[in-house]
Amino acid sequence: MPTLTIPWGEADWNAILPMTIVALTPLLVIAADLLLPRSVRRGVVLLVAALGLIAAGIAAARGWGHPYAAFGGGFIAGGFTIVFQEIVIVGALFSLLLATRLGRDDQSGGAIALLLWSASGAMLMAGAANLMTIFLGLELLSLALYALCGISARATAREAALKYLILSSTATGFMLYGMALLFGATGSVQLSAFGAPASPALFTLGSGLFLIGLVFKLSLVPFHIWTPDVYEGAPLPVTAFMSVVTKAGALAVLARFAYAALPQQDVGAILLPLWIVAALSMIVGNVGALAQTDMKRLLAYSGIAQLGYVVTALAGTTSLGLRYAIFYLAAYMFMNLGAFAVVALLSHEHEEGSHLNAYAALGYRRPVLAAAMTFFLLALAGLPPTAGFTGKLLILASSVDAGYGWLAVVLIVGTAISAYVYLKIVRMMYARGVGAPQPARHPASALPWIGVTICALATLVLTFYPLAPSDVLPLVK
Amino acid sequence: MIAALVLLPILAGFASYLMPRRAELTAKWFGVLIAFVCFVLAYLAYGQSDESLRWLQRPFTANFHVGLNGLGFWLVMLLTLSTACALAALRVPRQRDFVAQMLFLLGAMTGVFVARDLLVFALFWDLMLIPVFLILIAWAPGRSTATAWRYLVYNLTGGLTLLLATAAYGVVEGTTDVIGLSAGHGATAIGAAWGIWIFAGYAFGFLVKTPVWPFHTWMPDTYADLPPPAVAVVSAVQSKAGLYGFLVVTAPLLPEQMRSAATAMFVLGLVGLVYGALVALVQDDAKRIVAYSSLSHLGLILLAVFSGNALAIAGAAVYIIAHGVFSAGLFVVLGQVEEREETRLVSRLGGLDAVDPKLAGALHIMVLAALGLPGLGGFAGEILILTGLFQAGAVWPAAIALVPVVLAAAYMLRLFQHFMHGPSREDIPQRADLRPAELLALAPLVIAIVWLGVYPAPVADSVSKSIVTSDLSGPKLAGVRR
Amino acid sequence: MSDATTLLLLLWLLPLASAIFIFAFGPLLRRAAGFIGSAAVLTSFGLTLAIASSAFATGGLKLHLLDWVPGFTFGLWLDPLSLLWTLIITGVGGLIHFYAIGYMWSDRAIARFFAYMNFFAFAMLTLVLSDNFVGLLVGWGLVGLASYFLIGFWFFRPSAVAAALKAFVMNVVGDVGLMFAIFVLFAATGSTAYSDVFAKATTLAPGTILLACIAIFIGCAAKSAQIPLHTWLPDAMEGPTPVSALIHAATMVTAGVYLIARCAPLWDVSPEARALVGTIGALTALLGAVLGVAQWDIKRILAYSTMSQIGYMIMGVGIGAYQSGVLHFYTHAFFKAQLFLAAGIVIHSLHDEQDVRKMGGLGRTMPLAFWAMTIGTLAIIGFPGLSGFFSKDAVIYSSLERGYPLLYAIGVLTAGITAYYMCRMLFVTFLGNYRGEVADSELGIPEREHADPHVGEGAPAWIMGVPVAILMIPSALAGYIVIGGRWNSLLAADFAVTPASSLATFVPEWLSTILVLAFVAVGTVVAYVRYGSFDATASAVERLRSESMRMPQLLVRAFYFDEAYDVLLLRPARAIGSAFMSVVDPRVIDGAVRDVVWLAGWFGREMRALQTGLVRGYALILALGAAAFLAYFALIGAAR
Repeated sequence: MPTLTIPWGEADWNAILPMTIVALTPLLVIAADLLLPRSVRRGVVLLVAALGLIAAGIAAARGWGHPYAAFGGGFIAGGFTIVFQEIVIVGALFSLLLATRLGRDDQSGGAIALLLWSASGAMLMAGAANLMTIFLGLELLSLALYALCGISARATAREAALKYLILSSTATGFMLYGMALLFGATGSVQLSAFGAPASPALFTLGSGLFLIGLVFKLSLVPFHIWTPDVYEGAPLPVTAFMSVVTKAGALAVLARFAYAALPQQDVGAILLPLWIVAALSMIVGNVGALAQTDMKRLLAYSGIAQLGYVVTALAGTTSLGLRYAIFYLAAYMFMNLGAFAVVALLSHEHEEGSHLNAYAALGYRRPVLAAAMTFFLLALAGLPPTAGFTGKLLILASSVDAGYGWLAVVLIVGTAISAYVYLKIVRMMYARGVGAPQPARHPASALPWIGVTICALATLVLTFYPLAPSDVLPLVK
Repeated sequence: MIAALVLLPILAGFASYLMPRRAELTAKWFGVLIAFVCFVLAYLAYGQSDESLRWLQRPFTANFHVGLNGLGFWLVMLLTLSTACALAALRVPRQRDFVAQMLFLLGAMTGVFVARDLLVFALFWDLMLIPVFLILIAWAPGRSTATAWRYLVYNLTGGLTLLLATAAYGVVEGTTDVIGLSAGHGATAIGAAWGIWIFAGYAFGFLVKTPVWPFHTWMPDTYADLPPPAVAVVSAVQSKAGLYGFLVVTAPLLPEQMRSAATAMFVLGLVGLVYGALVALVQDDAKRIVAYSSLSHLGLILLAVFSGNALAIAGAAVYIIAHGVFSAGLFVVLGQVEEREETRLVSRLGGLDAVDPKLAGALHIMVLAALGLPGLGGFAGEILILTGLFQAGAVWPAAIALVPVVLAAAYMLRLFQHFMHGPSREDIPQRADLRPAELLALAPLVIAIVWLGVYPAPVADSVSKSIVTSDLSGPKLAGVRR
Repeated sequence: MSDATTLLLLLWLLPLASAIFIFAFGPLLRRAAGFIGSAAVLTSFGLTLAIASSAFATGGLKLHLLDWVPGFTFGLWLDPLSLLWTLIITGVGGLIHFYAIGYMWSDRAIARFFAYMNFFAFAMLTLVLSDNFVGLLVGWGLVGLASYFLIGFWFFRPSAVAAALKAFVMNVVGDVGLMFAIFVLFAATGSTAYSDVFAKATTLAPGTILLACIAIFIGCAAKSAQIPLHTWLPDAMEGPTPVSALIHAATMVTAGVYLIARCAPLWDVSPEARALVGTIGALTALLGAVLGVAQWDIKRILAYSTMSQIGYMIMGVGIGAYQSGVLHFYTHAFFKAQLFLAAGIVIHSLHDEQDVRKMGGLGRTMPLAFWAMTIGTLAIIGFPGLSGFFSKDAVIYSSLERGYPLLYAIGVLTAGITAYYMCRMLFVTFLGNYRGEVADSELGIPEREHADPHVGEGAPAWIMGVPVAILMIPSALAGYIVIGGRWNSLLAADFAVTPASSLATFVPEWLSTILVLAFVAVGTVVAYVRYGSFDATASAVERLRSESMRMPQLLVRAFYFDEAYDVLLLRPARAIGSAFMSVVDPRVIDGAVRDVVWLAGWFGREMRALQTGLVRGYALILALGAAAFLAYFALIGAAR
């Protein structure tokens, strides 16, 4: 039984600095929420939160090239961690842009605080290198989200929160049990110590249970079943947040587990279910999206498929694969959050612009917005000239390279179906006389325009400059 | 400068949205101007040194590598010219948005023909699908978007297999910057195990896009529903992308696979050749008649491409361009008829020659070119292809391919005579004849088709420089150069 | 390039230039177009005469134009053979152009007419002047096009439109045959130039040669209305009469004769081809004559006679008697053109009446037409001393010389029938009394629609008269060119004089001539008795009606060729096409794709049903998934 000694070195401070910032900002937020007059409250709160995240982002970036192992290896800083943390931070920032209508006014401060705490949990997962920290980050992420899901007044939100709570805790239970088995099999909580398990059988079973938890968080088939309801019920910003940040955290853990923890000889056998799950997700997610009439549900299903693509990139656990997984995750973040931003712009006082009817003839009512939406949808469908296209190509290449040609074929099939899904919305926006053109209502806030612009630019630029982080793999361990 | 050929139209497309929506005429002539500028640019840029920018290092090298020469050059000329003429000759509702889409299409297709890197090729290949889809959903007659879906289902599937093949090629070869390298370049590295799958991926994309029987069923509806200027460009140029791909991409890179697939392709080509001609014989919708005639003609070109005979391939190049010119011309004139008579059913029209002699003359020329009248472009391609086929030992295909030549005369003249001849009918409006501008817009196409019929040598040389050295007996793919 | 070649280029392109000019400015020119067009063609005639001598230089006059790809090079070549055709095309063509000014005088589209006529002259010159097969094929197709334009010139007449389509499609069949010949020859010799191909002719395999000859002959059959591709020619009479005279009598339809004569080196080495082509030529001659007997339309009579005479020519060149075959073309061009022009005058002055049963007694009212028609008829039946006598006699006798007694017999018989039906036309038209006022029904004429193009109204008579008058001279005297073997020496550059077979020694030429004349005499006498004699003309109306009634359907329907084509080719093609269109495309091919798409959608809807929204349902699925996972991991774990 190893004793966990905590040496308070500078290294450790630097390692956890970004997280700490994100974890402490909420205090300021709440304070501001309590003290400031209602008139300026919302703005200041948002500003504070944003500044906090930006500060954290800068802090994290400064850590580049300084691989630290803090807390006796419980947390590893460095390239890999930083990349995921940045993704989390950016994701959280964009969610904030949509957060203007999060909950009732007197709740918004608290809501944003929860959002940040959840984000800090994800950031912890990004660097977590032993089972304890992993679990810590996971719970921090999830608990905040349970509350967030239910924060809006609508009944569906409450229902969503409850479902999420129940199902998620079930999955967490599996995961916890898996952790216990892993610990029993290896006698250590350190992922790096899993090299040669004392009892392979136990280890195998444990990693199986552990994977179940991760797959649930990644909402891959068959553990995706909760996703559509929760996404639909939760407030728009929370949905956006979940669709990216949760996934980033879970993916980081999965990657570290797959690349750094598993003994080489077992990788193939143990991860095989993962590839099957990815394949299923690519098909089921896209097919499921076919029949949806609500934008958030549709994006939920598309998210299932998109994460399937990401996991496909990991197939064969090649170093290139990891880089392309990260690249595609980043690309997905931009195109997905861009789409969410458009949805937010279509929302107004009492209704989120998520029903597909809101898009009828949009191309003639609000050309620019429609053009932006078209662009994001093309990106999600993997059509040029978007990061989605380049990302898909890279994933295809790496999976073919790793000898997983069948996954590449499944990906192609899934993409073909998905084009149908996304372009259906394009058709609604441009076809004449589909649905009844609605009066252009004034959106609740213009802030999401920032999100739309940045996401569009990023999606375009990443097409031609696929910035896959180069020296990630060495830093996983 | 070559890159400008791609970027200019796309940027101009966005720029055209700056115009007020009412400025229909301005937008129209803006589009014509841009297309014409591209035409001039392409002419000036011919044979200029390639331009290249690094795109990917890993998992394989890929560059934004563009070059303009050979068959690609002629296709770009055809593309820009037909776009300019089609836009100038015809009117379309919501002109401004339409012009923008046409310019996007122009840029994307130019990209396909100047791409010297397989990945760039694939990018533009998928890109050129989008404007057509948008035009189909926004301009198709009636409310139905079924055609758009069908177009999408077929062509996107093809595009995706092509993308997968590109990825696989890159992984196997380590680079995709290979278009236009000397023939047989890829054959060394790509073993049978990979080659056949990579070829299959490309071939499927090409066959669907052309289209070749039995992948053609998206085509008649698409041609029927696209507004005339768009269908003119799509049928003239986009349908050539597949054949261009076979000639310039797979023939040099995967010669072995080309040869092994030849028999199957011959069968498809011949079936399509006869099938299309027979259906065109009984169609009532003029646009569908032309669509099925294209199925027939493109089948012939497919034979040439896979014959491996240098003469036939030279003929294929000529026929590719010639077919582009006269199909563009046909659809433009049909559009002009429809503008006046509000119908294009052969059973509904008649005797227009008495009131619209100019219109009739224009249609006559295009129809004659389409049925392969000696002295016009179609004939030059036909005779070279068929002679080459026969020379390559494909005696029966050459013989069978002669039947559709007769059928073509029958269905094309049926189309013309039902439109223009016979007693003039009272039940159809008697509109004014072509205006000078409309006539002028057709002139370049007429000149081009005559020029191709009299002196096709430049185009013929563009694809194969080695007819002299090609032995008269055996198939030969080495003749293919970009 | 020397000035001779310059003139050659000029005389070739002049008609084209004038055609384009007239087409461009037609509405302004109106009748002036007629004079411009005629001037252009006649100028070409003058230029041809100017450079005629150079054609007899060794190798003729050559001019290289352009190359496509190696083996496909284009140029002009003027040698005695092509010179002869060029002279006829421009000379006789020029006269017919001039005549047409009057004939089309009041037609509102007169300019378009002359544009087409000049275009035809250009196309025909391309055909005969080309020095290679592809160039020939270009001309071949373009004359077909011009003929299609001019047959359908009065496009408001459905019958004219149909005839034009028929003519064009049948000619495309011919073009296709010619194309196939080009494949064969190019594959065998690597070139399409006459010089290269003929140089290698003797070295090629007999099978190849025969295949090439058959393919070539398919082209000739279509163009020259030989069995079984002849059915378009009678319908082609829908065109204005000058067109019939120029294209469908004097020049275009004889292109087949030109081509076979041109390909003499191929025919020389392929006896099978000679037998085949000679036989078909003879049969066509016979068929044309037989069908000519049954016609009442003056132009259709002439059309069948044309078909029959071309049969003679094809027989002549087919069996290797090139000189006589070409000679018959040469004389025929004059007298047949004259016959048509004369008929045109008749039709014109009777306001588009073409049925000879409605004529009669015209000899008195229109003497010029009468004499022209008479001389023409005498020439065509081979009346001693007139041009036809020399040429037809030569053709018939040469079949004996070359050793084809059967063809000889057919030739002689046909000569008799020709005499009969030509004289029949002459007598019925010009003797007896005018029957224009007699009702159709009394003459046994079935119901017919009158679409009246108002030809030639208001035209000064001399415009149409002069050309006919001029043509009388050659159609009477052209034959004397053979005196002293001058003809053979003129064509010596193209055709060697080959020794006659033994048959010729049994039957000397004078004997054969007497035999032919005997048949001709019989035919003429029978025709006179039936239509020309006093009591025949007296009871003309009844005779004509009863004859019309009793005319055998087999002849009226022209041996049911059209019906056969319709049933065997057209209907099946349309049936298959509609089957493809309405069954295969939508149901079979597209159906499969649509099913796949539908399946995906159905799957999606089913999954939506799975989304009950009930937590316990979700938990169940979750548990099942987990169970599957655990099962797998337990298995591989146990394997450790």
